Amino acid sequence: MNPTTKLSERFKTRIAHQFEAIRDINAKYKTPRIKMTPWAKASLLGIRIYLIILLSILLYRFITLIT
Amino acid sequence: MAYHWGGRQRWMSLPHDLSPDKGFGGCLFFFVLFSDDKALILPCLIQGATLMDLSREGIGFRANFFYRYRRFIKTLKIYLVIAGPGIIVMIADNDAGGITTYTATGARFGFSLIWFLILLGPIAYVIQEMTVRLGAVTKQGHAEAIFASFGTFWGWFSLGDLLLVNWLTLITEFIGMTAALSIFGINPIITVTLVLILLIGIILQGRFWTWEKIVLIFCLLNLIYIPAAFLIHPDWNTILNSGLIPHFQGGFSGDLFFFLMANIGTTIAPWMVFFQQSAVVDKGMKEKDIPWGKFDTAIGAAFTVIVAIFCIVVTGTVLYGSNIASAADAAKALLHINQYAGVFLAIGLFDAGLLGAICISLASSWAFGEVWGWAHSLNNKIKEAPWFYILYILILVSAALIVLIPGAPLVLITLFVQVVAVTLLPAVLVFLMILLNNEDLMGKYKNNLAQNIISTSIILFLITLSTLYCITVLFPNLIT
Repeated sequence: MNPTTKLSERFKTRIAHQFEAIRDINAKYKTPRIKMTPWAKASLLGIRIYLIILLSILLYRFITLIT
Repeated sequence: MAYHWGGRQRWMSLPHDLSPDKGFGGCLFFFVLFSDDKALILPCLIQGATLMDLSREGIGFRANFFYRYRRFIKTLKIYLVIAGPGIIVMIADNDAGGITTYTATGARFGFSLIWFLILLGPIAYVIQEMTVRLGAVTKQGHAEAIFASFGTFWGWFSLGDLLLVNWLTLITEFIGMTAALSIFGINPIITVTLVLILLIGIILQGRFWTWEKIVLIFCLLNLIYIPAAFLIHPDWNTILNSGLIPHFQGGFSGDLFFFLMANIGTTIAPWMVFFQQSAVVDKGMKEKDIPWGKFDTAIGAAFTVIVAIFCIVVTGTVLYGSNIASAADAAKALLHINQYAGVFLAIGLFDAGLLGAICISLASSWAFGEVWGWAHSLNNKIKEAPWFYILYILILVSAALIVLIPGAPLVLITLFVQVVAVTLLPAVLVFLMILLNNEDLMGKYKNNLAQNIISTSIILFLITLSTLYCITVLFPNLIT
């Protein structure tokens, strides 16, 4: 195996390892530890909607400013 | 020798331990500060008496002075051990983007928004104080706490947001640093290279304590705006009359909202929440240290407001009405009016960028380290935590390279980053609020009713301003 192929294999292994790490993280934190009260659920939903709307508007503003 | 004041003459035996040969000789300040007999001692000192004279004559102070002095020194020593995260995060909050925003605000609105900045100090304290409690109780950084408590969706969302906002903010820090040193004729490539070497060197020495103390020195340099303000001889009466009375000069406008948003964005930023909580954990603070952590944060909040005010005083005095787009422009303009003030402003801008770069890149690295399970302490050597340090360096280098691209809209990025950050802040605050209200997690350190009312009000305040800003963006003629 030449050095370039060896380096490439090592890089692929590293990347694969990172994807594996992401899967591990997803498995580890799959179940939220905190008790979701109605207040907490409503707050998170509100934030979700708020962020979608606001980020869309700001993106629009940014695009119009640079064009 | 006897000293008289108001016809009285007092004689009192001096506590034995207070004798000058026991190291008391240089403590004039504390002597006066904690003495019950200031009215007697001060005139004696004015007349030329030394502490040695007072000691020899056994004059004019009560025995409990020494107890108070020792207690103060002991308290000070404890505080100096705990001090760090709160002061650093608050002063680093006045980063290059922040200084640019303050100078532009001063040039555009004069002193009229000083009252608004004073309000932002307590608001920043309330938010950051919650991170101290959360970090000390859970021993988890904010990113890890979000993953563990809210699951992967919100975890990845927060981590992605943090990386994006921090990276963009880091670019603004490099913009500020290169612009500041370009005033002295230093090429941006040299600035970027030297800064990278410095920032990487600070982090690789392998001790949290050393890193913290080095950064605290840079924090002290951030106070350079105070002498800069005195150098230009501002009219303090005008500042007090115009700056402390809440009002909006020229009425509501899109321009005013943009500046208010930018000021909020620079005073309260998402990275601060992540940084301070991680720093509290890395420092190893425990529940018993929470009062000191709060005190540290309060001191930092006071400093951040003071620096912001003096920054506005400088540009509001000399450059009011000028079209100032950045702090570097302000420094250049100041050089023609008062050379030292201009130089101070440039040094302050560089220092602000440096502090911001240190904290922001660390906030990202800490967050990733927590979630990925890497070793992520500044107490780790590079061999022990390679990914933590590699990520830190990668974030720094990539942001630095962006700045060197010619023709990038740097001023626009600077202001826009602040606004993007403030739109993401409500999400971070909601997570913080939910976590701080969880009794299983926080126990007796959970938010009380008053804290909840204040925090909720702050969140609503931020959301309202963000929404109003969006309305002015979409319908610029609606509010004029």
